[in-house]
Formats: sequence, structure tokens, C-alpha cells
Amino acid sequence: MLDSLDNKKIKTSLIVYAAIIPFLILILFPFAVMITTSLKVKAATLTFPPNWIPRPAVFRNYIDMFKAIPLARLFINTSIIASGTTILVLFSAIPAAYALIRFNLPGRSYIMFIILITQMFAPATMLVALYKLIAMFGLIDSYLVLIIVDAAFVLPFSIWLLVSFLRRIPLEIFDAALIDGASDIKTAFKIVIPIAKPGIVTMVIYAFIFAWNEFIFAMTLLTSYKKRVLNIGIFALVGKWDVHWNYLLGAAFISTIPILFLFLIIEKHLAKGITAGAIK
Amino acid sequence: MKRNIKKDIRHYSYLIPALLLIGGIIYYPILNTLFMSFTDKVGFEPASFVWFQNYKNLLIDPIFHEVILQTLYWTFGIIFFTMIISFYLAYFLSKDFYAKKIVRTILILPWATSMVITATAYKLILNGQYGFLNKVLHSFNSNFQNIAWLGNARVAMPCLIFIGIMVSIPFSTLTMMAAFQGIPQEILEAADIDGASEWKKLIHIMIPHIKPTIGVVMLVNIIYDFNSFPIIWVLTKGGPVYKTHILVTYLYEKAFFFMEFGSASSIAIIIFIIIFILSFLYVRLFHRKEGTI
Repeated sequence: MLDSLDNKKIKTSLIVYAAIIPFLILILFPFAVMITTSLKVKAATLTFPPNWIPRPAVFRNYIDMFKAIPLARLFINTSIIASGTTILVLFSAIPAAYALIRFNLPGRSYIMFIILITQMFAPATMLVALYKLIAMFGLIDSYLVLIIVDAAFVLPFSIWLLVSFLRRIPLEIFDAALIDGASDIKTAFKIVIPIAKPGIVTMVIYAFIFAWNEFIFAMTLLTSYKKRVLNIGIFALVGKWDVHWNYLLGAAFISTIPILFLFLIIEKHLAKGITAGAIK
Repeated sequence: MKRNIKKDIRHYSYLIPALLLIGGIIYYPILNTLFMSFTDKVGFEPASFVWFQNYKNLLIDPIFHEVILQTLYWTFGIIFFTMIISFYLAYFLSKDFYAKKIVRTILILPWATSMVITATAYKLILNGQYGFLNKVLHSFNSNFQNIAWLGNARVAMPCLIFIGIMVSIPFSTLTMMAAFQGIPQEILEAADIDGASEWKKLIHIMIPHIKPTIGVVMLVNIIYDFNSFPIIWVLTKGGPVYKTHILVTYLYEKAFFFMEFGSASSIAIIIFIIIFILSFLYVRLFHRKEGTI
């Protein structure tokens, strides 16, 4: 019995792999290029045809690139922006989601609509007016401004995520806490946060990834070399005449690793969130 | 029931931080953009009110016409192939096979990676002198003449669309995969007992079942690709000679390279109106989906 089941699984596996392998190769192609190029000497990155096996393989590149590119600085800056965004989202999304679920506020569905519809807007369309506004206050090139802007753009999805988690809490639990004489804030901390923890974790990671990967705001709103984030530091080198592909793609590769790990934690919630996450 | 107004106000106050952020960073700029789109603002000079002049100029701007067509080409080129490939992948991946977790992780790679990073890798792949794509084509045909993929007006856009497809596949596939897995096992087993072929099951059971999901995924992708900026910006900046611009990159260039804020704002408003129509469709579709399931 067990044997025949395994046979079936083996057969299915063969069919599935035969069907999907071309696509897996296409997906892995740019990553393979990144890794192999990052281990080459510079001259080997500029010859045709490029080799798949780097000869010699220079693992030292991963140390040297920190001198060629201000990589440590870029990592620090990106972490500041991503953490700041996460914290701001945490403090604005939790109370908002809590109020939207817990209280029967008049106009609640309109508020939800106003918040969630912004998920559809292109950052580029806001940028002209936003830039003007920020320039008026003389705040171009400030970490704080980029954090605020990033936070505003992740908020809709974050609030939606939390609302969908909080919905699963029966209202009686809130009420029971209130009868015990707990204030709203206390209810929030004692009951809501523990129950919504998976939702909050997902939200926190999502906000962090969003800010880490964000491009157009970081490029436009942070103008000084010192304050650049990873994406921009890497982008700035792409167009250079004398480009070090080995350092550049090595840096690109290591800047992706922390995000990939975070992404794997929350991926299941994301797919659901984006399709169902529209207006309700 | 009489409402306690004081209590309501206190409850509304929970929403203040979120609404301030969204109002200040998203809604206020939209209104301001609308206003600016009626002015001839260039750089930091004082502007005057010109009513619909910017819109009229766009109507007769041949580059803008081209950009509109390219935006459609880009958006629907990505959608078409993404939907077909994702459906195909989701069908197979929803089966029970070995090392599913590893395959899933590989599939997620392009989604987790920042588009700037992906585009950077493709910048080397598509390079005309020492790129990997030319190498691969060379190994199939030794007479192959190297192509500068991004410098060639005819092939640059298809290359960008290909990258767009690669980064759109993970989300679409995973979502459809969940839909495939959500099909009640009993129905499929009943079909098996009746001797239905795999093809019949696909047409009569699976596709009807995941149709609502396909619709939602498609609209999410349309909106997302329509708004997508980094791939094009990193790889071509809209070149050569405007041949790979889409609305958002054209708007960005107008605003931040030529400082034509008024004109850029009118493009932003046009984008905004299109997105609004698409979002409206999305909401309708989503509600229908909710109703049917």
C-alpha cells in the first residue's frame, strides 16, 4: 500500500519537474549570473563569451567590495530607513486597525475605502507634489521624511492585514475585558496584541521589506551621497563607465539575502493579502 | 440607540496617526498635483494658471501618444504571458511532489528580490559586448551576431517585458496555486470515479473553480505593472529615443530631468484617472467573487 503510494508520488514528481524545469532555470538565471560574476576578477567580467565558472574564483571580492563600494554605510542607511518605517507603521496601524474592528464607528466603511484604495496609486504620480511640499519645508535629504513617506505607502496593506487578523477575535473577548474594568489601551495590550501577533509579525516584516526594496522615493528624496540606501548605491554604479561588475553584483546579491529570509516567513500571508486585501 | 458623541470622538482619535500619514503623504499631494496640472510651472519659477493647456499639449504630443501605446504594450505584454505561465505552473505545483518546499523557495526569489537588484543583473545579462544572453544564443548558433539588447529600439521593450514577466510570476503562481489547492477533493475524486480524464477535470471543474481568482490576479497585475517604475528606469531610462518609456517613467523624466512640473502633473492626473477606473473594476470583481464563493 505504502509502496504504491510512493510510486504514484514519484511519477507525479517526474511529470511536475519535466513541466516546470525550464521555468525554474529562467528564474534562477539572473541569480546564477550574480553569484558567478561576483567571484570573478574584473577582467573576466568584461570578456566575451563570459564563463559560467569563475577562474580564478576570488572569494576575497566579498571583502574588497566593502572598500570599493561604501557597502557598510549603505547597509546601515537602509536599516535605518527600514526600521524607522516599521516602527512608524506599527504605531499608526495597530490603533487604526483596532478602532476599525472594535468600535462600530459611523462611516467606518468609508474610512476603510479611503485608506485601502491608496494601495492602487502609483508612487510616481504623487512624487511631483510631494517633492514640492518637502522642498518647501527644506526637508529634502532627510531620513525622517523618507521614513514618513514609506510608512504612508505601506500603511494601507498593513492595516488591511491587521484588520483581517483582528476580525477573527470574537467581540465578546473585548467586552469581557471591558467589564473587568480595563481601559481600551489595556485591552489593546493585554488581548489584542497577543491574539493578533501573527498578523503583527507579518505586518512588521512586510513594512521592513517594502522600505528595504523601495526605489523611487529613496532616489528622489535622499540626495546626498552619504545618505544613500543600498538600492540607490547599486543603481548609481550601474551606469558608471568603469563598472566593477564583480563588486556590484556581489553587493546586489548580499543585499538580497536578509530580505529573502524575511520574505519566506511571511510569504503565505502575502499572496492571500494582496488578492483579498482590496476593499471590503 | 443613542450614540455617545464624546466616546465616538475618542474612538476616532485612534485613527488619527494613520489618517494624518495617508492624508498628508497621499491625498494632499494628489490635490496639489491636480492644481499644478492646470499651471505652467517649470522649475522654481512662479507659475500662472493655464487651465487645460497642459492636457491639450499632451493630446498633440506625438511622444506622449507613443508612450501611451508603449504603456499598453508593456502592461498587456506582461499580463498575457504572466497569466498563461502562472496558470501552467500553478496547475503542476499544486500537485503532491517531492521537494515542493525547495521549488516554492526558488519561485519566490524574484518576488523577494528588489527590482533594482534584478534589473542590475539583467543589465549585465543583456549587455551587447560581454553579456550572458549573447553567450547563450552563441552556444546555440555560432554564427550569431551579438546584439546590444537594450540599445536597440526594436528589441529593448520585449526584453523589459520579459523581465516584467519574470518578476510577476511568483505572486500570480502562488495565488493561483492556493486556488487550485482549494478545490474540494471530493469533487475531483467523484470525477475520477466517473472516469473523467485529466483534461475534462481541468475544463469542467478546475477552471470554473479558480476563475474568480484568475480575474483578481489579472487586475492586481494590471494595476501593478501599469505603475511599475524600477525595471525600466534602471535598464533604459525610457531610451533609446523614448522607445521604452511608459507613463510613469515619462512623468518622472518630465518632472525631475526637465523640471516641467505642470506638464508632469497633467500626466500624473491621467495615470490617476486610469488607475481609478481599474480599481473600480477591481472592487466590483472582488465583490462578485465574495458573493459567489
